[in-house]
Amino acid sequence: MKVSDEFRDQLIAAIPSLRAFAVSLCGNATRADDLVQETLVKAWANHASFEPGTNLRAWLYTILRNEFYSQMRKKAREIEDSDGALAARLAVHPGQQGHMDMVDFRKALSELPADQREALVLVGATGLSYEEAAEVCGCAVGTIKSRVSRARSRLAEVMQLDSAEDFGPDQTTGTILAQAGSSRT
Amino acid sequence: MAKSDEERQLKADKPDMTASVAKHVRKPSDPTVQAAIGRKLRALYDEVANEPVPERFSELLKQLADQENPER
Repeated sequence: MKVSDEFRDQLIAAIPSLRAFAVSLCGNATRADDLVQETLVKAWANHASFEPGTNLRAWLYTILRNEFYSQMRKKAREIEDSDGALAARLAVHPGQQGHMDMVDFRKALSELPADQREALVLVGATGLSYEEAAEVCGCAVGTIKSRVSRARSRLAEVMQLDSAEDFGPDQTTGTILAQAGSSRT
Repeated sequence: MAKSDEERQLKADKPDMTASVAKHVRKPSDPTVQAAIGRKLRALYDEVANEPVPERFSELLKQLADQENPER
């Protein structure tokens, strides 16, 4: 069966969110695009197995995720890839420089267990339902819910520490100094 | 009498900072905290999703389409 123009257009439309999901999985922009490429090739070859009317993005995320983990398993035999190495790579995506606040958030996100991070990203960022996320990850809806909830609690703890620092003596001193400075001029 | 002395002593021991910091500490389940997490998560995701799509992908899809219609 030939790939329809409609299917092709939907694939093209899904590329931006596939790239974002791939970066959240592997933490490396170049590798993420290689994953997206593999995903598009597989989706094209297996287009007949896509059920029209279901969520195409969820179907594509499933392919991408399977591709990522099968590559990880292959690589695991060659190189020991620790969570620390993944965290370090997550910090260097070129499009993601910015506010200190976001740097801390990204670090906290990268330090979550991989299964919690992917569940949180699928539900919290891609807009998939819990049911769709469960299908992508091949697990029960309850498992996704508990992973998302643990991820949210952990991130909240980290952000709590940050906001406690906001009220610490350093900022007060800074504010007083700024006020003193501005009243002088 | 002894009790109120004790209370006064406890109050004196407690620095004012503790009270002002405690006011700002929210529970992880706090909707404000959860909304902030959601915003940051989407901001990170959208940063990549809003980037222009690299040309390699339109070339790839063209190749895939060409393979389907091999020239005779």
